[in-house]
Amino acid sequence: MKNIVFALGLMFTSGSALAAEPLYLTFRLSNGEERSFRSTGLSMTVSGDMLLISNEETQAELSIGSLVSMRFTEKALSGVMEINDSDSVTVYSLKGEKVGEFKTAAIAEKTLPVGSYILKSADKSIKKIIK
Amino acid sequence: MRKFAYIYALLLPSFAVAETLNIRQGSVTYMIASDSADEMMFNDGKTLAVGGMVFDLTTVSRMFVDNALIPSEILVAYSGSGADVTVPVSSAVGASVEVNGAQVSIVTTAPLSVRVSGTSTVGQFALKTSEPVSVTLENLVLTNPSDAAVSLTGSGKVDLIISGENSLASGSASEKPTLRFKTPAEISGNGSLTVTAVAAAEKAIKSNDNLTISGGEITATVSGMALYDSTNKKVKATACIASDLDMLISGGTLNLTATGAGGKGISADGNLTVCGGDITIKTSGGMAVYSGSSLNQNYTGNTDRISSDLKTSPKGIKVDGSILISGGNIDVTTSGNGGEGIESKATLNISDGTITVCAYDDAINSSSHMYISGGDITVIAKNNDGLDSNGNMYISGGTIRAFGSQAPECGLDANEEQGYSVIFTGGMILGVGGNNSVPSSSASTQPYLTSSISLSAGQTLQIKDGSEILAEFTIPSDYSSSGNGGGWRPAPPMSRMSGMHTPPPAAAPPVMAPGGWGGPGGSQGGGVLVSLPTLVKGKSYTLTNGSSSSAATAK
Repeated sequence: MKNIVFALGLMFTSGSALAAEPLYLTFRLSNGEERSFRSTGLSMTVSGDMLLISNEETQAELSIGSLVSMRFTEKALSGVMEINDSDSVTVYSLKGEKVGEFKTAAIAEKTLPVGSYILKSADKSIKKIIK
Repeated sequence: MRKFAYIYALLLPSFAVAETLNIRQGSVTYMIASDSADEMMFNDGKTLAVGGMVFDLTTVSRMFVDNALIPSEILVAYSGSGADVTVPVSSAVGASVEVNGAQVSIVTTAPLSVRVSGTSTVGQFALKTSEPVSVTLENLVLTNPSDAAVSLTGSGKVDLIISGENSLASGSASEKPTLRFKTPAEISGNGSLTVTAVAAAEKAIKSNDNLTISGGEITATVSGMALYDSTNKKVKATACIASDLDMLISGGTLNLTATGAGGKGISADGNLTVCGGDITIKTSGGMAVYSGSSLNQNYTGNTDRISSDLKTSPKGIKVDGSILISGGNIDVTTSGNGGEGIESKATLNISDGTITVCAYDDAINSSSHMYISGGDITVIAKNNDGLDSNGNMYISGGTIRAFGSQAPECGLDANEEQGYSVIFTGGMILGVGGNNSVPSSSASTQPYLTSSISLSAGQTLQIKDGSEILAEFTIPSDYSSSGNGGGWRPAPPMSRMSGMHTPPPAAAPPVMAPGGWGGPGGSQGGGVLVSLPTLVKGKSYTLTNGSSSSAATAK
């Protein structure tokens, strides 16, 4: 029992035992909506009036004119940006070649072979890695 | 076991990863920590405010998040024809940064620190500040062909810290100093800094304000010739370090070399204070004189009727104000025609330090009074005076070996023609030359001896009271009693008797003779003057140089 207590003590005091929580970069839009993106590896570029946002999992575009602010948050305030379950999607390869059309993103994820894809619904684009 | 793992999982503390938001504008990357970013506001889709800085979104090429550590100071890294700048937003509010190729410009209204490194042959680092800033040069090799390599301006004090091995240079087309200060500045650090200027009349290091040097190993070389400024109708020359105001040297090592006509080691329009550091200066250029429509870069004629604006002489240290030396080691050599060692256009005060000067002209000169209360001073003037005061020369302490040329020049020269005098109240004093000034005022309380004993390099002059040695002076190796018109040598008796003042031919061997060259007027001392605290007026002493001896009575 002493050994177990000692081991737990070590875990508490050791930095390596701490669990790292990812941050989110959360945008507040002029319509009051908030959108959070996992900040790890997040990249943003300005293209015309749009802010192109991407990381390993997501690719999105936000109108710069609709942006009020952005801030780091410890939680995804609107959830990580996802395509609505009921939306149909068109899937493209990272080279831009059309792979197929699916009734939902969930069906696409189950159907597609391992790889990275762009899933595009009527109003959102996200990057998806199928493992 | 599974139970323990479950407990561990429940108790395991979690923390948010501190990440860094990077905002890239051209070659500049601004960094801010996620935990200090707060809310970053977009304004009408045009700008983004982050941590007190506002970014024009049309100029932002990319923003990204990573785990990079944020530096505590602005980092400037030159590479070839470009430069990358990293700006920690939280410690650079009030600063604006522009990069154009390898031209980096920072303007700040707030205190900040900058570290500059890398290599470029077409670069410039310019900083303008209204607040105190720190600029560290770290292994920087920067050349600018047509302008200053480093330009620090404004009104806030700049601490320039030298780290590693640094080199700054400018090209022959540059009319600007290689390292320019237009704001109060201090140079310090443990690294080395080599500054080179090659253009005519260019300065290697120039300050338009007060400049302090407290550290670093600084090597400054200027090789340009003199220049006639037709606009201001003035002849200008190079300088290794120049200041329009005051200069203070309290530490560091300075190796300064000026090879062009009129080139100077240190030039200050204000006052110069030296209280530390090791300073070595060599100038080899001659005198430049503008006459008619041409500039003579090695003028050897008479300059008595030439306006000071139309001539410039090489000098180790030239100061328009006063010079105060209270420490440090100063070694000056001037070999070109007209080259003075150390010159103050006002008063000169030495209270400590080690000073060695070997000069073509006056070794140490002051336009007003000269005060020496301490220090170890050895000066050799090949063609003029060792110590030359145009006012009184007050010596109250220190060890002084002053070697001047033949009459009418001398080792110790106060402006007796204008009623001034040497005033000895202390110090170990040796003056060698044609017409050493002797005290003419009751204020001079320390007795002195005069003699015409011959001296040559390497000898030791002893002053004895009977068999007791009161003092020894070693004659420096640079001293020549007969070579090239330099140094002092006794006159043949016939000349002395006839009252001739013309020096003997340089080729004539030194001779032992009673009395040296007499000067105009009767107050000058013999070729050798000694004053010691232990001398008693009216008492006889013996001077020996190893092989010869001479008796003299203290006056």
